[in-house]
Amino acid sequence: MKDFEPKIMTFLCNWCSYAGADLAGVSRIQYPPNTRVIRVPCSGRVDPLFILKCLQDGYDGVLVSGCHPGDCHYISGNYVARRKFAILKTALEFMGMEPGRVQFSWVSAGEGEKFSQVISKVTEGVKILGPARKLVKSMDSLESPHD
Amino acid sequence: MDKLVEKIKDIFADEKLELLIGYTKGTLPLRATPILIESADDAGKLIFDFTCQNNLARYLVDEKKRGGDRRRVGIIAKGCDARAVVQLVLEGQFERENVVIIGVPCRGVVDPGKLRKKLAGREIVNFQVNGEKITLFGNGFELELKRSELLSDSCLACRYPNAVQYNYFIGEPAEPLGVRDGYASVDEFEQKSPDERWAYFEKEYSKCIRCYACRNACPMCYCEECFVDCSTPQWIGKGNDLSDTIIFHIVRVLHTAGRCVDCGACAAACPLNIDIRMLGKRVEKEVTERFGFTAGLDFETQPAMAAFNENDKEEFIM
Amino acid sequence: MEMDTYKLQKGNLERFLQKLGEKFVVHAPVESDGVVAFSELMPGQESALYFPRTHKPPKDVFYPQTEVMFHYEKDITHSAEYKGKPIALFGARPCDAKSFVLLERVFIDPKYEDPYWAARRNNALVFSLACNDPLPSCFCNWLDGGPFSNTGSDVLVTDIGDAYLFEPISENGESFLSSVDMLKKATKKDIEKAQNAKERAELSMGEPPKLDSLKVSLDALWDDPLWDKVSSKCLGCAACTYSCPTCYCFDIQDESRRGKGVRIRLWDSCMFPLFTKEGSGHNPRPTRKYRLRQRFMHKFSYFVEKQGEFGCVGCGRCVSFCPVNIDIRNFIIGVFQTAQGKGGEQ
Repeated sequence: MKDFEPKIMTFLCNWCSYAGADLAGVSRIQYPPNTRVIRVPCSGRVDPLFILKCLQDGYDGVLVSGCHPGDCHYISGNYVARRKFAILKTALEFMGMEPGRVQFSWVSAGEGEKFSQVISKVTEGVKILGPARKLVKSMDSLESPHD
Repeated sequence: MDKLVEKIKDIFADEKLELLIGYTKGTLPLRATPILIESADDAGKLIFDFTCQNNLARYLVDEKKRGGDRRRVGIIAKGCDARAVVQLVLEGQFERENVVIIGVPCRGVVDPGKLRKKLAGREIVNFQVNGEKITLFGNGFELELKRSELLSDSCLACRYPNAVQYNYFIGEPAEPLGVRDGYASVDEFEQKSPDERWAYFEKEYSKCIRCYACRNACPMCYCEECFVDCSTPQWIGKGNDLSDTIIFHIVRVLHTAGRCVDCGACAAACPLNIDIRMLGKRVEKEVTERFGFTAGLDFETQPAMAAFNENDKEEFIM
Repeated sequence: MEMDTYKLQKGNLERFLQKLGEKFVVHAPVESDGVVAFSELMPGQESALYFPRTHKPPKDVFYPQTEVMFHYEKDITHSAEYKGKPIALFGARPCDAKSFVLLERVFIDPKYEDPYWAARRNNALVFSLACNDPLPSCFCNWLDGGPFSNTGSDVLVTDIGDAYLFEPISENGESFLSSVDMLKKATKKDIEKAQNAKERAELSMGEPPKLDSLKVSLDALWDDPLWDKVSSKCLGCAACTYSCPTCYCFDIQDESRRGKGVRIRLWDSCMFPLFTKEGSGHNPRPTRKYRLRQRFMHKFSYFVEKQGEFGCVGCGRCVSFCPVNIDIRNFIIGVFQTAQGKGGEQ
């Protein structure tokens, strides 16, 4: 779809990925503007419910990014997150959700370039997939069936 | 059955039990019903056979909630139920020394939902078992089925028919049914295209009326406040909107990941025969293969989703 | 007024339903993947009338599980009462038809009328289908009902083998039937066949216990340990309440997003702890014992006080669907036994 501009929600851990995103900005690295950012203390803070609610709300893609394993500010938050995300991805893809819609990455505070590449990759991928439809809840779905 | 009753009476005395959770005959054919007895005098009401579907571990948690977790509780446990008890102890819901696991050999149990489906709306008044065949009798009809046609899908794929951890074991251990390989249904399903799979889940979950029988029948769902009942924030709507309902089922599977023992109580409890187990079974497979953990086998190993390994695979991370 | 009974050959049923569909939105039992529930009958779709008792009662035809009350947008609200074609409910069983009589006492009270329920119920035509083969779990005859009861029906339909008999019960029923050309008048023999079917069905259900003293007995057992016993195995789910044709508890919530929203009414259940939890955290029904007691008392005592008869139609769905086999019939017997000091079971 040529004119489709996806809406991506990105959860960035405060200590690594958010700083990395900031570095990308300060370094004037260009990357697609489609993403909205929510800063979390740690990637381990991200509850799968956040991701599912984004998809329900009409976001076309969700990205969660945290510190590299071993570098977590809270020591083990990203390890716990890694297990959660593996299971979430398995469940969603088994159900038939497109793999490109929910993605995870490790971006450190010094990886401004990598951050922009990750965003570009995710945005491109979601663009090709088209608007998300599978979990979307619209007000219309609350129409009573006989109206 | 007499052996069971006699042994229970002994256990009551030896272990100074204050409560025993078991099964007794139900009011409908091919149904047993849970019973909580407080004295060995009532032991004569106990039965154990292939009608004993419910997962009794569910009542262990309730016992705790009623403030009675200091009571010595005995529990009749099939293989899956016993694993649930172990998992509950691992999660700190019950103290090991306060529960007396009484293992019984299980050769599969009847899924009431499957029975209803086979009967297509009719009901039976009686039945007769003849080895591997069961004959069902209703008003004006008779139906002969193979046992495996009525047994829960969990039983057909069961790997642990006997309690792995127990205080007592009554009877001869049973062989796994081996009718179907554990993850065969999941592997077969995964062959379908993503859109076909999504269509299947939409079709199944669109039947859901959010009665939460699945959640409440599960021994692992014991949160004081379930995420569906949280209003600050309200994660999903409480009606039967399809998107909300699908998210309920996904999140319940995620919350029970690595804790589910596939007892089939969820699917059996569902009044509308929804395929509750399919998603959870795939997640169970992932936990087993990726983290090498199976729920409820011993009292030492940390549950997979409450632990981590520095070397966990991360091929899915960009 | 003596109204004639009509007859329709089974082969003409589809044409009849089509005729019905000209003036009404037709809801009938439809089978989907082994589950039978009432839904709008699409042209050419077959109705599952052979199914003895639908999984879900037709309660949601007049009372959807999720119902929009109104839409809002800043200062504007659009009320969303049903404004479609009148509804024809075809194939409800006598228990289901009676449930609407009971629900009407709640929803269309002289002082307070529920416009949402009323908008669907008024102008609706109920064709109930008599039960030739009551199920073992059916107990409508305990509660002044029966497999051929016509309470709540506009037309009572009876399957006599090769044909259906249509007996008009209300004037609206008669007025519709008399307008349909393809219906013939039933012969004496047809009516005899129906009478035989009725007797056979009623006989198959056996003699019901008398429930005259149930309320009085129940009221005296408020603090009895029988409640602890019955509720000890209750899971606290809503399988019974949601499959019950006469349960009507609901919750009202607003859902909004970006300046627009809806107020919705949705089914709720007294079996859920959250149902009575107060803002302070106090819950007047703190455990499952209190909630189960409330449910049974409501059906067999409070509803009698408020509305003059039992709030249960004896359809048997809760008996069939309770995951732990709590059997309300056994409970009733247990109440009588306890009241008589015999120490009833369950």
